[in-house]
Amino acid sequence: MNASVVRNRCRRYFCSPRAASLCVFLSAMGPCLPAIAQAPAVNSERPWRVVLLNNADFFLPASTVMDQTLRQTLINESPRQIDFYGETLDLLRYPRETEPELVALMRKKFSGKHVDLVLARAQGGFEFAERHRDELWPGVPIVFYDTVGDTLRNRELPPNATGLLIDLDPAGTIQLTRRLHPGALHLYVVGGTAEYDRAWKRRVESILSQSSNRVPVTWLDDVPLPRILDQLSHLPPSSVVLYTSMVRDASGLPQNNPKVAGLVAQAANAPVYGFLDTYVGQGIVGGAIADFAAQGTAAARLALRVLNGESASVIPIQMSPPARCVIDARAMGRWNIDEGQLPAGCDVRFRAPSLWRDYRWYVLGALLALSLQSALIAALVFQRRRRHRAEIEASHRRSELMQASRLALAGQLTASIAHEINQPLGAILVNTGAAKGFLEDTPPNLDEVRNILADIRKEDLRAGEVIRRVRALLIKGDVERQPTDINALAVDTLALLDPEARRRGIAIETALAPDLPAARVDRVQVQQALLNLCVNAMDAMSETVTGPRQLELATTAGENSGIEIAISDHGPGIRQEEMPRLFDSFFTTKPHGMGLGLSITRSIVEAHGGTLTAENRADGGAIFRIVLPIGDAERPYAGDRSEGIDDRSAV
Amino acid sequence: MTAPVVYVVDDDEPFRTAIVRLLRPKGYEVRTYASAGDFLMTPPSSGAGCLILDLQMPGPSGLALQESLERYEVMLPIVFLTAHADVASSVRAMKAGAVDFLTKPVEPEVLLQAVATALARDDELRASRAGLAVARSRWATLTKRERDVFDRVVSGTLNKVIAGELGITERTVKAHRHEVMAKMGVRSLPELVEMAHLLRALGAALPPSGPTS
Repeated sequence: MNASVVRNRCRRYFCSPRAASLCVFLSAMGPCLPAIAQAPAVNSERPWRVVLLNNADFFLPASTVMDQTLRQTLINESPRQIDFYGETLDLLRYPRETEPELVALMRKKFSGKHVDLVLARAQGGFEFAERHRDELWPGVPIVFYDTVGDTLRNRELPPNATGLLIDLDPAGTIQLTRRLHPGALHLYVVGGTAEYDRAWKRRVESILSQSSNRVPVTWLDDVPLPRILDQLSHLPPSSVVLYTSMVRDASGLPQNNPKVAGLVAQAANAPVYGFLDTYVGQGIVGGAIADFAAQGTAAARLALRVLNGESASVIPIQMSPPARCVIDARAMGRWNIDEGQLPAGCDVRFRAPSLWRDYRWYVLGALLALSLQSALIAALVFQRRRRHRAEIEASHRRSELMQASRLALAGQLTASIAHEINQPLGAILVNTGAAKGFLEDTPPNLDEVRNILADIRKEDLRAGEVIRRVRALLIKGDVERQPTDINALAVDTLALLDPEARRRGIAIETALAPDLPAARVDRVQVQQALLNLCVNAMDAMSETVTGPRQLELATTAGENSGIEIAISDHGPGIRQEEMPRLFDSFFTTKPHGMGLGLSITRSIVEAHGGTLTAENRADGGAIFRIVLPIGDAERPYAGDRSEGIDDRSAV
Repeated sequence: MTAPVVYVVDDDEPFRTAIVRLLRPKGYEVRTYASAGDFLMTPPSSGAGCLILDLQMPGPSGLALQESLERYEVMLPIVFLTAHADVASSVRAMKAGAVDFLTKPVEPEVLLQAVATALARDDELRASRAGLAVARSRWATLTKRERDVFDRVVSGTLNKVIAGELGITERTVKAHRHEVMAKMGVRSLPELVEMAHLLRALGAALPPSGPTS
């Protein structure tokens, strides 16, 4: 059993709306019973029949807004279903002539039908209902709406009728133009030729005539719309336009009011105002506007009171919410109207979505967070730059220190180096003396001279080699890592130390692993590290009287494909309490030591990604181990950026 | 007459070769050694000669060799020649009687001059040593009484006083004095005094010249 069947049965038993509550009671016991279990109680009552008398076309823009809201509110808020009987009188097009036929048609439509309420729109609708109620809907209450108060002045209301007045406010709109354009020199009023348009013209003229602050008024309503638009585009400066209504233009063409409002606003070179809700958003600046949707809602509520049993006769005529200032933000911007000039409480619509307006605190919060973050980032960047600079500076200092330390090392070796250079020089000089003698012989002993020259050459190269080694040690230049044969480097280093070792009576033993892989190292730095450790080892043995005075250097292919270089001595070894500070800068046990050797050695080794460790040997003496990685185990090293001049090319 | 020998102790082989080339044409015999040890293994001949000694060598240094030579009374004049000299070593070497202290590189002329000086010194020393040997052998022929007279004569004591001291007549003193002059091979008192100085100055074991009992 469906809902409509239930409705029909109920209607058969009870025909009076007054008996509605009884129906609810009875239907609970009768055939309606099964339906109750299936559908809401609303459906169990007879729907209210409501006649909507529209003075104009339902599709007029004003009507679509207002009646849409009205119907929707009625449907939503009514306790019963509502059957709408929409009747359009189309009075704007046919003011009077079709009324007899309309009435005849309606008589046929409503004969024998019980109608609960006639909702009449505007003055035309209300007057039609009033004229024909007794004939078409005898005794049915009338509720009118969208009616301008002026039209009811000086007349009596019929019985069983009430209604809602709308505050269409051309006066307020004109006042608004004066407020916003105090310097306006002309007012142009645009209107149409339909009766509706004429009615507005009369009203506006009456308002303007009562106004104290008068500016010249020009009506643009007696030429077709295109010409009006053309004229509007050539208005003198300081003009203001009021658009009233153009349901029909001078050429007799029907027009769509809001659309014309848009065309006018678009064409005019002056701000355009209007007073109907539907104009807002078409391009006009705004006006004193009665809210059509609010009108529809209020009318629906009034109708519901009557439908629910209140007598229309006793409900006084209602005023809908007063017109209020509505402004189109876009048009306001177009005409540079200062928002501060707007009346208080003005409804500014169509604002460009503004984060600042809609989410001020969020925006402020976000901005604060952002600025804090930016400040933090800036601080970090600044700090990073400072650290970077400091690192470069430190790297400069480190490389200078290394250089100084190499110089000191060279200074320590000066005696040996001088010895090593003077040896070949001595041989050369003596050889020259000998050669002179051989040449003075008769005949000159040229064979001996030849031998001497060969020896001189050999000795010269030998001296050159010594100088090359010292120079290599003293090079100040870019750190340059190249695949290096560590064994060869060790041999070269020991050659540099050999005379010093001989001078000190220290023997040097080497145990070099064959087939050692090449390591990517900076020759000069690693040689410095080796020299430091070797000189330390020799220093350690300066007091050694008993036992071997022997320095041992061993290379091995260590674990994890590294290279281990072990340098051991037969000195007193490292005291346990010295161990932790061994590699600290300025820690020394030597009377004239600076305490930088081991510290520099370790920083060199670690810059190469290697490790430096020290331990005591079981049979006395200390052993230092360097483990260098091979292959790609390179670490970025700030020293790589040092800006020394590479003078190796000059060697 | 055999050529003077220049002994060269230097660990630098090229230098040894060079110095041989320089000295041999000048008429010297040159013997080279790579270390102090080598030199000590083959003692020098007794003939004229000098030693060119490197200061720094593996094993015992030049200074150590100098000391040991002195101990063994090998009286070769030494020219030190080193590639790197420090003040302390040179002072020590000169105090110990080195003829010269040269540093490499050295001008060949300077080296030759030093060798010549050293050999001259060697000659001198040899001559002195030869004189002393004669004096000592002659002195050995003196009787006890003649030695008593000798001591007193060279210290300028008058014959009369000597006679008094020794309890002999002046005439006998004169006779002894004559005998001493003859045995010592001198003709005058000053020559005798000079010989007495030589004996003492070179540290010869001069018997005590105290009064005989």
